[in-house]
Amino acid sequence: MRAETAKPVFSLWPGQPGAAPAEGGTPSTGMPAWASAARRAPGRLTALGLVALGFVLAAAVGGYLLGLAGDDAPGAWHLPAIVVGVLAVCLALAGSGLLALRLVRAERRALAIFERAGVSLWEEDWSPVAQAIIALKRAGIHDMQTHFTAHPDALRALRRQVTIRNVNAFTVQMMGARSPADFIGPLDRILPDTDQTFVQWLVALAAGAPVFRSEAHITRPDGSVIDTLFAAELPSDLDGFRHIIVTAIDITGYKASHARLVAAETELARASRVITVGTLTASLAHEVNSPLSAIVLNAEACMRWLRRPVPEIAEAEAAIAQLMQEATRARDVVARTRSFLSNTPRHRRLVDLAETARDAIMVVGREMRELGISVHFDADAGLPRVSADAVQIQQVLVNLLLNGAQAMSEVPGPRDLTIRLHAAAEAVQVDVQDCGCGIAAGLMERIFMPFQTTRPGGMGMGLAICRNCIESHGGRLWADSTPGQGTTFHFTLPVQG
Amino acid sequence: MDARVIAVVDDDQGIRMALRSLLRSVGYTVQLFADGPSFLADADPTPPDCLVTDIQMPGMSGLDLQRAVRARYPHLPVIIVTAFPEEAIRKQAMADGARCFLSKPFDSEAILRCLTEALDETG
Repeated sequence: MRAETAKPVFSLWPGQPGAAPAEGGTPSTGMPAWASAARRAPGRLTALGLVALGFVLAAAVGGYLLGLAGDDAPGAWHLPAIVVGVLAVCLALAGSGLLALRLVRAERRALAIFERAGVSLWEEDWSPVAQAIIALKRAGIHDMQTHFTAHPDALRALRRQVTIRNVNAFTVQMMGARSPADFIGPLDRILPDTDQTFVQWLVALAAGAPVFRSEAHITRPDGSVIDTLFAAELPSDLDGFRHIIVTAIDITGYKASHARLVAAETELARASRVITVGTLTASLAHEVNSPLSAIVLNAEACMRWLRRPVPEIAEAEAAIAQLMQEATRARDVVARTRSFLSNTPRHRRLVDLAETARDAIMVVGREMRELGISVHFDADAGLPRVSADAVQIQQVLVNLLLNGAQAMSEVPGPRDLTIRLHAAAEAVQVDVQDCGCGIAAGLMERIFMPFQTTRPGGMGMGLAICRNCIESHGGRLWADSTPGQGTTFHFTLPVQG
Repeated sequence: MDARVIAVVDDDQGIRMALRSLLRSVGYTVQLFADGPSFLADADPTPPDCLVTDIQMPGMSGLDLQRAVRARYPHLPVIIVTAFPEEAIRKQAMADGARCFLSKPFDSEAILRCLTEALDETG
C-alpha cells in the first residue's frame, strides 16, 4: 500500500471521515485512476447520438432492401426505391437537427442552473495541478503532503496556477462583489497565504478521492475574510480538471458561534481549575500551617529556656529537636503536593498524536491567520498510539505553535510553521519548526526555566510547564535553533511495550 | 511562679509538644490531650486553671468541647486556636464565651498574654 492511501486526508471540516480514496483510486502504477481514464462522454449525449445513428442506418438499410426488391422486377420499380431512400435520409437529417436543437437547449438549461442556483458555485480549472501530480508521481513522489510540507514555495506557485473560470450570481452576491470578473483569475487572489487547505485538495486528488470538502478562509474583494465550506466532486478523468465545479457555503456565523462555544468551554475549564487550585491552596495552607505553628512555638520556647536565669539546656535542645522534626514535616507536605500536581497525568488513555496535533492546529487557527502564519502539517502513516493525557499534550502543542508564531512576527516573507510527526526509537517524535529569529546559544537552556520571558506581560511559565508535562509522560522536550533561520522544538512520547 | 495547670487539646502532636515546651518554659504545669472526650474524662475531680483547644478535630470539635466545658465548669476560661480563622466561627466561639480566638501560626506573646489575662480574671 502506498503511503498516501494509508494517510487519512486532513480536512479542516470536523466530522467528515477523511475523504477515502476512490475504489481503485490508485492502481498499482501509483497513478490515480483519472490520469489514465478515457474522457467520460456525457451519457445523455451518447444516447442521443446512438439514436441518430440508428435512424440513418435504418434509412440506408430500408432503402437498400427496397432497391433489392426492385432488382428482380422491371425498371419501373427503381424509382420508388430511390424516393423511399431519399425520404429516409431526409428523415434522419431532420432527426439529427432536432437533436442538435435539444443539445443547445440542454446547455442553456445547465448554464441557467449554474447561474441561478441558490448556492455559491465556482467553475475552476485545476489542469496544472493534474499535470503537476502526474509529473511528481512519475518522479517517484507519491506523498503530496510530505513533499509540499518540505516545499512550501512550490505549493504557493501551484496555487497561483489554478484559475477561477466563472462564478455564479449567488457567489457575486455572497462575496459582496460587483461582477464575476472580480473573481476570474488565479485562485491565490482569494485564498490567503495562511490557507492550510489547498495542500489537502492535492492529497485528495492524488489519492483519487471521489469528493473533498474542507473549510477555508477566503478574502472578499473588499478585503474582509469570510469562513467558507468548500466541497466538490473530484474529476474522474483528465479533462474533468478543466471544469471542476466547487460549491461554497458561508459558515462565518456558524464559526463565530462555535468559537464562542469553545471560549465558553475554555473559560469553564479555567474556572474549574481556579476552584481546584483554591481547594488545594486551602488544604495546603492547613497542611503547612500546622508544622509552621509548631516551629514558631518551639523556637520561642527554646529562647525562653535559654534566657532563664539558669538556662535549661536540655529543655532547649528538646525544643530544637521538635522544631527540626516539624520542619521535615513541612518539607514533606510540599514534596507530596508537588508530586501530586506534576508527576501524575490524570487522564491517561491511548492517544493518536496526529489527531491531537490536528486539534491543536484548529484551536489556534484564528491566531495563526491573524499573525499571517502558514501552518504545514505532516504525519507518518501508521504511527503507534501513545499513552498520554491528550488535553495536556494538546496544551503543549498549542503553546509551541503560539511560540513559533510569535517568533515569526517580525519575519517579512512567508511565515511557514511546520509540524511533523514521525516514529523515533520506541517513541513518537513531534517537531514544531518555525523560520523566525531563532534563539541565541547562550539563552537556549534558560528558555525552559520558570519566569523567563521575552514577552511583555508574559509569565514565562509556558516552556517550563511544557517540559514538566512532557517529562511527566516519560518523554523529552528540547530545541535546536539557528539564529536568523529559526527554531525547532522537538518532543518525544514513549510508546508502551 | 505559680504552678497553674493549663490543659491543651489538639489532635496535632507537633502543636501539643511545642505548646507544652513553651508553657512549661514560663512556669505553667501542662496537661496534653489528643481529643475532647479524653480531656472531659480526665478533668474530674480537679479541673485545670485554663483550657487551650483547637477547633478542627475528628469526633468532637473544639466548639463542642467548649460548650461541654461551659456546662460543667462555668468559670473555666477557654482559649481557642485554629488554622481556619473564619469570621463566622470566630463569632460563634466568642458568643459561646471564649476568652481568646487565635489563628495558627500564632506567636508565643499572643497566647501568653491571653493566658495571663484569663488567669488574672479568675484570680
